[in-house]
Amino acid sequence: MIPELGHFAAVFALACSVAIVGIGFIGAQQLRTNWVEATCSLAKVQFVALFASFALLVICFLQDDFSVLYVANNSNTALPWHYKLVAVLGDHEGSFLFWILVTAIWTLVVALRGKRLPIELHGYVLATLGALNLMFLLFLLGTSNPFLRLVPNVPAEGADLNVILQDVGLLVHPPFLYVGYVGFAVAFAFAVAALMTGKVDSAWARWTRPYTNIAWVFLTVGIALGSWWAYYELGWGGWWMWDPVENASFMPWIVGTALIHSLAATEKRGAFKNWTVLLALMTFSLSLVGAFLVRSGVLTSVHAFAVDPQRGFVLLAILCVTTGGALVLYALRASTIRSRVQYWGISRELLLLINNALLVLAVSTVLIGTLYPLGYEWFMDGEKMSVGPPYFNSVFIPIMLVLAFFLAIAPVSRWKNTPMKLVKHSLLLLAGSVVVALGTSLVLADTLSVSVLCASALGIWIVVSHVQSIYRQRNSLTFGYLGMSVAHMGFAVTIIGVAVTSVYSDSRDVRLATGDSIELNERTYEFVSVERVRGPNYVSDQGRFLVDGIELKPERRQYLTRPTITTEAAISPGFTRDLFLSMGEPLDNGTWGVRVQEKPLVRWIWLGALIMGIAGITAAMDKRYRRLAARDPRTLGVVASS
Amino acid sequence: MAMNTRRALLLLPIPVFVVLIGVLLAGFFLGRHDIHPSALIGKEFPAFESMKLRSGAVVTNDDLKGELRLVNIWGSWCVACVDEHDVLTEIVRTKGVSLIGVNYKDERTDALAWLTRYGDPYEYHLVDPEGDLGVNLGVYGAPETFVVDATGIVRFKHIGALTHEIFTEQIEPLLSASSND
Repeated sequence: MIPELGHFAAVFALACSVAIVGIGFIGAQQLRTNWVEATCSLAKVQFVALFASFALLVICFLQDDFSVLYVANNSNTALPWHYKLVAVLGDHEGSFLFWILVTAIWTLVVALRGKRLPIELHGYVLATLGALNLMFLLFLLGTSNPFLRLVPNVPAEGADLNVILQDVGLLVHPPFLYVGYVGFAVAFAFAVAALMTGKVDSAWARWTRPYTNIAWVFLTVGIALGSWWAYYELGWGGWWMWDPVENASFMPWIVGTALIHSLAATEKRGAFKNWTVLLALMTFSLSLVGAFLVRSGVLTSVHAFAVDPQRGFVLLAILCVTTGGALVLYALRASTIRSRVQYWGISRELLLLINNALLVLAVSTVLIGTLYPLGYEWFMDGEKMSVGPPYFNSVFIPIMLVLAFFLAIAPVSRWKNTPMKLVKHSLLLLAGSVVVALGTSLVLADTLSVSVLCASALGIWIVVSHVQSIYRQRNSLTFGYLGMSVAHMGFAVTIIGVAVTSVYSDSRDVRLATGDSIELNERTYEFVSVERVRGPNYVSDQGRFLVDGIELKPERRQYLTRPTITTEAAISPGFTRDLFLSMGEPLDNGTWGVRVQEKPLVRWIWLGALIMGIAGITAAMDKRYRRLAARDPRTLGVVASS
Repeated sequence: MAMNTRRALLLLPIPVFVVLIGVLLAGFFLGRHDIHPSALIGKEFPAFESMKLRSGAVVTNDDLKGELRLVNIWGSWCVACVDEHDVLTEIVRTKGVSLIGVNYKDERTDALAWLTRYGDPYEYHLVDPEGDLGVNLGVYGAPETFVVDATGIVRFKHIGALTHEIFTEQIEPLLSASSND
């Protein structure tokens, strides 16, 4: 009964989304306030239905209802209850139901917060979001129903969750990513609505910005969590592999970052209006491309879901309708949207333009690198191949360093034109930063590295110039400006972490017997013992190592339900370095393959992302967004007369 | 004129998107085309001097001679290589064929960790950190597999992950031909 109720709730939500599209669209076109208000109520109903549907699926998992195919494929009675929650999102069907729920949540937020938007804009935004969820629900119910029953042959036991996903980190990583991905649908809907109304002004940008910021924050943290998960769970200390699925989340992030900057220029100066609208369309489109890459099975990846050709085809159709439709609308309507702005020299407008150009270039390189194997398969008889870090690192890193250079000038820049005196002053700071970076490298490192020098000099320059500008503005500091500055400093922390970890990580692979010890960077790792340990659904060989008085326990787990062995690394975390120990295969004479790594500043990579996340929330809390709480009668009048 | 350029610019995203969809469709409905034959087939394996990954011992192209071998280009950064790995392991186990790895554009420690994690069915590995050997071999990316006969002549080249079908259809005949000699 419970699965049927869940199924019914999803069908009911589908009916709601049809009504949201129809009533929202007509309400916007004919400027009928009560119709748009009815759409808001429908958004609430849709949310309740989808929340119920998802909750019922969770109940199916907690009750081990293996008559439901999706539960039988992804869970098991021996699975601890918190991993059952992970399992709900562990495969395509459940995670897509969650994606739909998140769309409904964002729609609800727009319905509740948007009471003061112009009727026309509000109606179109809701109708667009409704149309997206309509397509998603049709896709779910048509090809990927998570409530499908497995009758009459109900299995006594489930197949268990993919062991690599049995980790609490996955309770938070996918939800953050989805809230981020889908959050860009709001910016997309605002862009579509702007094209419908023909109005892209400073107010429009101010309405769009907090949604874009929050979606970006979730995606930033989600990506960082994923990287951190790969680092400790995949067991060999890698934190970014340029895997197609990682790229799928990274591409909307890059364009979303460009969008945040372009929106700033549109709000403050009425600049780049067409471009901002196009970026908003692109950001969510890349979220959809990502969904296609992950869920259609076209690319080989550690993250990919089970393959089903029908699904891929429908997702591609959704992408065509959504992005294709929006781009046609853009081609038809964008010519009515005009930006008339003038700026000279190294103005803030110019810097934002450079930021956008570099980020779009960066996303193009990632997109080409990700899709190149696909094009290759087409011409080469269905063969699979990888374009790996050698390609991505050689094109992406230089772009980021150039971006960091211009980013450091941001705090001294002014709208329209920047006095050369300020730019020169900033370049002096750069010279100082180079000296500091060089000095630090000489003191702390045995060898000098150009990439670490570049990254740390730029990083120090970014931090110093932003701290200075915050100090200068201490009496008139807004949340928006503070958020921008802190986010830039977070970026600096991340690039320093990336450079130092990549260049100065040390490792040794050795064969060790208990009682032996190994030295790395003047630290002794003593291999004390190996024990056989039983977990809830696995047995493992657990090693015990001592280093600097700290006990580290790496494991090799053999799962009972699936023929998989996983390595669980033991990590001693630290602000300046991580010690990372993993145990490989047992070799002859009671020896083990052991890998010892020391990874300096690796935590800075995620710390920087966390700082960027906090900064994004700070910026979204700016007073001027809250002031919108009062529906401005003038805006209403302008919209009604247009 | 300025107006027309502007209009054209606004249309520009559409063709870009169409190309994107084209590539996605292409990947989706895998095409069946003939493989471009490698220029190397029937010719001698390019001369090289490299090191073994584990021991650091020097290896040259002469060391490949003596029996028919599979030479597999791989890297720890290569996701398709993980997929291919089970197939290679199975082939070595059941057919007893000699498999040599070329660790392509990789870090030594990453490569060793990868082998620890997934197992090592290879006889030994050459290192090609800068991809120099790869250039001479005309490597597109990893994985790729070459069949080199006992006299050091390249007999077959496969781009992308090796599958059991390709092994049975294309490589096994070469294998039995060489053992009949």
